[in-house]
Amino acid sequence: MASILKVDELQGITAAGDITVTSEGGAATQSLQQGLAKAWAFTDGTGTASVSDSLNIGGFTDNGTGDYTFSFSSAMGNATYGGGSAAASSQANGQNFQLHIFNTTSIRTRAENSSGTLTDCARLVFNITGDLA
Amino acid sequence: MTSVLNVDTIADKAGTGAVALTKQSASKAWINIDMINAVTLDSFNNSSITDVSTGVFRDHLATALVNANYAVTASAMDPTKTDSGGTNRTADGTPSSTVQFVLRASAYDNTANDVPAAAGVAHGDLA
Repeated sequence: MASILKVDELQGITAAGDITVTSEGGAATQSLQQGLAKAWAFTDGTGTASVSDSLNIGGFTDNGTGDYTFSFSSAMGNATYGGGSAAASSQANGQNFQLHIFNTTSIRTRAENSSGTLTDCARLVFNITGDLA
Repeated sequence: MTSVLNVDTIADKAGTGAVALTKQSASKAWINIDMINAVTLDSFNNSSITDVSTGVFRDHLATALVNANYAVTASAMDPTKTDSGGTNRTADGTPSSTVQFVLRASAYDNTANDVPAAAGVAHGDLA
């Protein structure tokens, strides 16, 4: 019978923000907190740009064509966090979506076509990893 | 009343395996590399980096993945670091083995370029 533990919050004893979990293969352990995405968003940049779905995104600014700023609800601990991004589009040109300017309270992004020109794109996704403040 | 569970380690009920909470869902490694100065700005599950060539770095993992079929997403920061300046940069990540993946930053004409921040995230199963 599967065991299910029901709680609202998990904290480490030694350090509240550090809980170790066992790997899938059972050969290693790793920090739970460090592996979790701290923010992500799915955005439609066409027309009136909007965030369709997200985690830890409290604000969104359309700075202009292909240029967006996402504000974090909970700030990052530093501006050297990691992440990844991708764009999908039905347009003929290849699309690129890059994390552009890293701040603790926001991330500025750019969507560009294959010539490096800012362009709106229907599907923009990114994730942020690192330390929350 | 909010319930809080204080623990240091979470494992399955046998005490040796992963629980459903973490399996496949958490990233297993991430890194942010300043390629210009060849330094790691921040990372998780990284032991070292190798500057392979212009715009190409290898991220060596501290703990191995179970296979080399894991997924890596990446992004490259604008070298001008201005709000409105053109970037013309992109990045991709490729697993090369269970213990390392490659980050490559390039211009859109596919010319490799060092950038001040190339970030990558790996998802898959740990060994």
